[in-house]
Formats: sequence, C-alpha cells, structure tokens
Amino acid sequence: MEPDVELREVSKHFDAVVAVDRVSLQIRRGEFFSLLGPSGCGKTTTLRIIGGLEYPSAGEVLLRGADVTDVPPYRRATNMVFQQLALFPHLTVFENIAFGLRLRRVSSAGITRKVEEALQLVDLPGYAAREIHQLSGGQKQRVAIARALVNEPAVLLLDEPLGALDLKLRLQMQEELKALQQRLGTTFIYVTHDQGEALTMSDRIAVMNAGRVEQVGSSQEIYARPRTRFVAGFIGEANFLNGQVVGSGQHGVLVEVDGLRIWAAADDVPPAGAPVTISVRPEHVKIGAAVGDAPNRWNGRIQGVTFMGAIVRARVTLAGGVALTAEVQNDAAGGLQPGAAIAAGWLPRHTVVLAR
Amino acid sequence: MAHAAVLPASARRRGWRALLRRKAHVPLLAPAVALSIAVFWVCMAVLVVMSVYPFLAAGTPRFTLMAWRRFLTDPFYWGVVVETLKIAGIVTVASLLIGYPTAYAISKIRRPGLALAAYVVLFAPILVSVVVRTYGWLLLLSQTGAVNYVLQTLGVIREPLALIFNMTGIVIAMVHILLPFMVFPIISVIGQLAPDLREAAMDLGATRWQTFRRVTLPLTLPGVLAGAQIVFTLTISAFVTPFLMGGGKVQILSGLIYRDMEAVNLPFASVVAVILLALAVVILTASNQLTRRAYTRAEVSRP
Repeated sequence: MEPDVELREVSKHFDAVVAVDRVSLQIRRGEFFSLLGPSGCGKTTTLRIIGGLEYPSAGEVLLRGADVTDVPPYRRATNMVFQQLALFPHLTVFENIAFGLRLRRVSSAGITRKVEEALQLVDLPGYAAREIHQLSGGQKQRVAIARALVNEPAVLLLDEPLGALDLKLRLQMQEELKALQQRLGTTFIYVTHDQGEALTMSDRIAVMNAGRVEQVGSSQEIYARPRTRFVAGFIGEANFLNGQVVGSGQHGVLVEVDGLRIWAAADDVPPAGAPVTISVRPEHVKIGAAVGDAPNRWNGRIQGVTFMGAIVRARVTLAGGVALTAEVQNDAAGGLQPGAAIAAGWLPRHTVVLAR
Repeated sequence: MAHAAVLPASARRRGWRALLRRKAHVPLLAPAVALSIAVFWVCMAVLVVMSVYPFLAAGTPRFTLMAWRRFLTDPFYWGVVVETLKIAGIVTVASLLIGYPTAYAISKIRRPGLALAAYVVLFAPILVSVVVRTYGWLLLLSQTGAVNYVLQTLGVIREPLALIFNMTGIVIAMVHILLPFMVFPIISVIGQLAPDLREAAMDLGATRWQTFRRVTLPLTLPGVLAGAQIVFTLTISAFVTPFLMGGGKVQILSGLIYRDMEAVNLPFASVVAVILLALAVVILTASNQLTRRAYTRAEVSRP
C-alpha cells in the first residue's frame, strides 16, 4: 500500500542553520507515528513541513501519493494540534470547532451535527457554548483535538500537545489519544521529546538528532536494537563500553573491552579489529545469583547503591576497571552493600554492538 | 466587624499595618489627583457657573439661562456641533484606514534599525510645532502649492483643487498629526497576538484574507477602539490646526469658544466648552462599552 505521507530528502535551512537535513520518511496509512528527539533536533520543523506551515528548502512532500510540496496549508488534507493549542480566544468552543467547517461551507445543520459528534468523541458533550477561557488545561486540549479532527483530515499532526499538562493528566490523555487513533484509523504524526510517551503510544518511531533521522522502527526495535549510540542513549539508559572486535563464535561477536572479552549477538558482524561501542541496558546487567551461567560473567565489586523506589541501582566495577550500572528490582536488592564482592553479567542477546 | 472589638491589641496593630501596606500606592497618586482637581475639575466647575452667571468677574452675578437658550435654540450652533462631529468622524476613519495597515506592517519588521526608522517617521510630526507644521501643509496644499503643481503638470487635473480653507485641508492635516495615536495602540495589540493563531486558522482552511477577517481583525479590535477613541476626542477638541487649515470658513466648536473669548462673551464660551466636554464624555462612555465587550472576548490584557 502506498504510504500516507512520504518525505523525500527534505531539508530546511534557517539562514545558516540546518534545521532538517535530508530527511526521508514513509508513514503508513492508519499508523501512529512519532517523531522523537531532543529539543532543536528538527522534529517540529519536519511536522510543520508536512502541514505546509514551513516550506522546505529542498526535497518533496507527498500526501497519499500526490506531491503537495507547493500546496499551501489551507488546501492540504492535514490538520494540526498545536503545542500552545492556539484556540481562538474570541470564539466559543462551538465556533472554534466549527471554524474549519464554516470555511468549507458545510450546511448549518451539518455543522451542528459534526461539532456535537466531535465533542462526543473527545468526551466533552455539553461544552459547546463555553468560552475558551472558562476551560481547564485538559479541556482545552480536547477542544484543540476536536477542532482538528472534525475536518476529517487524512493525517492529524500533533506537536507536543500534552507538554503543558501535569503528569497524571498527561498519562490519561496518552491513553485516550491512542484509543481515539485506533478507533478512527486516522494517521497520527506525533512530535515529542518524551521517550516514554513515544514508546507507549507509537506504532513506529523516528528518532531524530541534529536534523537527521537516526533510526525508524517500532518501540521494541528502537529500544532493544538501537542502531546508533545516540538512539541507545536517548531511549532509556545504557552502559556504553568502547572496545574492539576480536572474533566471532557460537554466541555472536566477541568484543574486547579493557581486557574483558564480551559476547554480543550482532546481526551483521563487523570485521575483526573494528572499533565498536557496546551498549548494555542497566536492567539487563544481572548481579549476584541472578547472573546464572551467562557467557558474559565476571567478578566485581559494588561501588555504591542508590535507592530509587521500585528499583535499586548499583554501581559495579569489574576486573580490569570497567564500571557499569545495574538495575535490580527492590525486592531482590537485599544485602547489596558498597564494597562487597559480587558477580555481574549479562546475556549476549542483551548486548548491542554499535559502530564507532 | 463585631469581632474587631475583642481582638487583642497586637492583632489590631497588625491590621493597621496591613491596611497601610494595602494603601501604599495612595501617596504615589496624590500629585496627579491634586493636579487633576485643581486644573481640571475646579476649572470645569467655574465654567458651568460662568455659563449661568454672566459678568461674574464684574461683581454683579445674576442667574440666567440666556447663553444656554441661545446655543440650544439656534440651528446654526447645532450645525457647528454636527460639523465638528463630522470632521472628527472622518479623521478617525481615515486614520484607521491608513493606521491599521501601517501598524500591521511595522509589527512585522524584524530588523530593529528599520523598526526604529519607522517609528521616527511616524512620530516626527509630533516633534514639530503645530503652527510650523500647519503652515507647511498650507504651503503644500494651496492653489499654487506643490501638490496642485505636480497634479497639474502631470495632467491629472486642469484647475487647481481646493485643498485648504475647507474640510479637506483640516482632515489631511489632522490625520497627519494624529496617525501615531491610532498606530501605537494597534501595534501593541498585534504584538500580543500569538502567531500560532494565524497558523491555526490557515491550517483549518482559511486563506490569508479569511485569516485576517476571522482571527486577526477581531482580536485586534481592542487596539482599534482605543486608537479611535484617542483620535476622535483629540479631533473634536483640536483648535490650532482646524483654525488655520479652515481659514475661518469651517465652523467648529473650539473655534466658537475662541471667537466668544475674543468678544469677551464668557457665558457663551462657557456653554460651548461644557457642551464639548459633554460630547466627549458621551462618546467615550459609549465606546468604552464596546471596548469592554471586545476585551472580554479577545482576552487581551489592557495596555
């Protein structure tokens, strides 16, 4: 099936600054797609290019197979939920939602019906007559979503729409947005700098850094098999160890780090002698009895223990001076004492090899 | 209040101190309030008294409504009221039509140097003496002035246009001087407008014109009303510019006051002055109602 939205080598320069650098993406119909990255990575600019609010310096934007690069925002089948919501303060909730319908000359009965439906959809029935300044933050959020969705866009663009909400409301809105997207089957493109938000909601994620797309994949792929050091560090936490490929065998690739020989299950095997970085998630580093007979297993010493609630974090130094962070469930953390000798290790399949 | 009596002394002292803190701004207002009372309210009261007690200065006051009767029963004076309001209305509308696009353009200037230059051009007329500026306009707009010369040379007109000693001249000169008072409030409201509102409108299908009509204009209405109020009230009370540009051929209320002061007809001059004030109050009150409605809708903080 042809992609709903396609970017081909899209770049955007603001004077000398390159905000978006040759980005190519294919976003499938009905997909919840996230653009994830730190602030200034170009994710919002990319979204605005899709919506037509920015004109790309180079490249093409396709919407359902048609080139829309030169189509102004008011003639694109996209609608945006803005970061600051951008609700019209001089209009009521009803008129805000009806704004797009009136411009398309929908009959007045049609407008009333569609606005009512949209308010039902975002769980705000009976709010039509309210003024915008009478609404709470969460209610404004819902109105902004209704105002965009009522136009039945091919693609809904969301620019960090939950950023202004407090944590509890944000988690609730995440669930509702995801449910809404599944119910409607509309393609959602969601910009966020919050990796948790992206992992929870997205079918696929594009991780962006410095104007480029670093990796595109499902939440699990991005988390379990990051392809660059940036992705591994930005999504979740990771221990990074620099070393060299020294060979391969039954467990995958053998990498030497400060005298330790570490097995890693790599998809494509780098040649021997190649400098690489190994990434291991703290929750995959097992300590004490939990290590079992993992091929990567060493004796070490606990340097420090940090209590973090449900989990406990331990700094462990292995023979050869390699230092790692391990995360242990609180109930398994009894008897972890700084200075105590302890075994530490992890499985080859939890070891990601990154080119350096 | 019943509890105040049984409060311990320390609590009452705290109450006093709190009251002092709350009223700390009162001394700051005192000079302005004193000046306003002495210069404005006392003088207006004297005017009202003088309008019904002729020859007050001469020492034989006698109550009479003669001056009021003369003004209110003579159609000529009603004509002057209408003429004054008409000039103020035209000047206000013309300032708005020129001022809104100007304010919009200036608010879009990104280079600080250019913005400063725009402000200098806009505010320059205020820096020049009113008499000098008005004579400048007389020279430019007279039968043999630069404007008529250029238009005749270009063949646009055959006979010179009458641009001075009539309402046209008054309007041109008044708009020139009052334009900044229209532009400034509008710039400040446009500056407060969130840029993503325009983007949201366009995203929802509005062309540039529809975005202006449905979003930008209604949200900048408070600035428009504020500017219109200032320009209107300054025009109905203006004297030097209408007097010189009108050349005695256009009768306005401030001109009547001048004429009657010259003729030492103090009661009649007082009547005209009080009527001028009443007109300003009525129009400001009415437009304030409009402004308040615009503000509650626009949710823009008052400048």
